Amino acid sequence: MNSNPAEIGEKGNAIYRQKYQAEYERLHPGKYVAIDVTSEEAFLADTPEEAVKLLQERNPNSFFHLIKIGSPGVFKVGYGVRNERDWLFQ
Amino acid sequence: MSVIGSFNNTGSPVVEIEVSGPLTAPTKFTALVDTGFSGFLLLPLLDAFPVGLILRGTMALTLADGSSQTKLTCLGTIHFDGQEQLGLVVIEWQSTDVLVGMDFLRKFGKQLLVDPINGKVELTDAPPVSPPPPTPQQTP
Repeated sequence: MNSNPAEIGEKGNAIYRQKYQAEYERLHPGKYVAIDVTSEEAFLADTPEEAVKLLQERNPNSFFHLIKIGSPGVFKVGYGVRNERDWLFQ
Repeated sequence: MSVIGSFNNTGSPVVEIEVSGPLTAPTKFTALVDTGFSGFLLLPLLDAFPVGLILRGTMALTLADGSSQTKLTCLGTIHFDGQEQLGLVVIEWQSTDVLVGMDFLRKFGKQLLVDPINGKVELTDAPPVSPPPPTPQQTP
């Protein structure tokens, strides 16, 4: 797995769209899901911390992507984009 | 209990916190209290390394213009006012400010007083939630 976060995020979003989104948005809006981008398992919880803890208890070395079901982002911030560069390691 | 904060050189309210990862001792930071941030803690990337946070996750963050950006994320612990709370840490490449947001206030049960006229920043324990008043009985 490349450690580029944009790639991890894209892969996590793709797994979510293909396997979980339709069901989860119908049954669990507002909850949080951590997607293991290697095993493609989903870990659902009421809080973001619980979703990540569930995933890390099962697969402690996995890369994951966290999603708030039905929302474009997990959190909101009050600032905007200052530049397009979003990553440093490759 | 209450914690006294201060204003930074741009006039924003700040408080002293400590942050630890799973294997490290707490590291001190001066954090800007940002009620426009719905999360727990936002740390610049270079500050995340000394804390020993294990960066294996990503999440989307919604910016003020409605766009989203993918950020690194992990679990971390904030030590504040004699308490410890575990929460989700957003790792920000583009910022040098440490932010605590609404989820920080919620987890620590604090209310925020910001009085720029008198130079006062104070985080006090939020009063317990009072039950809703009884609904009046309707007479036929």
